[in-house]
Amino acid sequence: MEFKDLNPILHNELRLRIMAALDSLDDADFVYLKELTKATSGNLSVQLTNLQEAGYIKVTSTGRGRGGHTVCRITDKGTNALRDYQRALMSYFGQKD
Amino acid sequence: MEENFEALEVIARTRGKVELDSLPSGERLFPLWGGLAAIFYLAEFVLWQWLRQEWCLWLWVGIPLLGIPFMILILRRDRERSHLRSRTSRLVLDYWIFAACAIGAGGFLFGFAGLYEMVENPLICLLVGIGAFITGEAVRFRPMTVGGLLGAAIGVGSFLLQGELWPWQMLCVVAVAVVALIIPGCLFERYVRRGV
Repeated sequence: MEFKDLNPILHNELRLRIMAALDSLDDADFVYLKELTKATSGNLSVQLTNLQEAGYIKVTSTGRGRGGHTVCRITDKGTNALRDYQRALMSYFGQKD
Repeated sequence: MEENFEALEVIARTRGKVELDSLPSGERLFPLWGGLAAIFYLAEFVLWQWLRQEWCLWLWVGIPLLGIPFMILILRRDRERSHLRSRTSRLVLDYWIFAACAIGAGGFLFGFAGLYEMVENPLICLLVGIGAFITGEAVRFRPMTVGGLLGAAIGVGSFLLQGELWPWQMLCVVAVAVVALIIPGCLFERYVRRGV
């Protein structure tokens, strides 16, 4: 049986949670993602930047400091990457998508 | 291998939690509407049996009159979360808006057309039951799915209560409010508070 390679960007619990959440939602702000994942602000920021650099999410920020608002949205590339990642995981269990 | 299984679990749990969060204040709105429906329809049944006057059948108008202000208060309190939207939650919300409009319009139209006794109450049971079933499936919450199925079944059964038996349809609405809205709504609260 041949196993597919797992995407290293998504094979991290926090990044995977962010991607799974954004895949279901139209968009989500930083505060909601922080509450959902129970991550620290610093860690969440780093992981969002990683996902953005990979082209998986689009981050839009308005304002600065305490009044600032950061909204994240999954891209088509991100959606496809998550689907491929799920398919690869399924292949480990011999399941079809 | 175990780690890979956990990854699938993380995806499924996160999606379930997100669907829950994108249904604004569901854990409070279901008991609110269910409680109001149960109280008003029970009162309508008792008053109708006692007085047999047509105004008793218009008591249901009190449900939206009381429910809408309370719903606005609850949604305002939870407004931070109410902007979240998913494809599934949009479908569920659209269904409930359609059902509420259909129930309200049906109440007036059937009331004035003299068909209230035949159609309105079974229609309410059916629409509420289907709504609870769809909601339960959307957020993967079994008690609401089962409550919805029971409600829809009661709705179909209540179409059989015609003629002199029709006032018992009002008790069917009470039963549907309890099994499809109040009980799952109260259990929903604990479910919502669970983390990812």
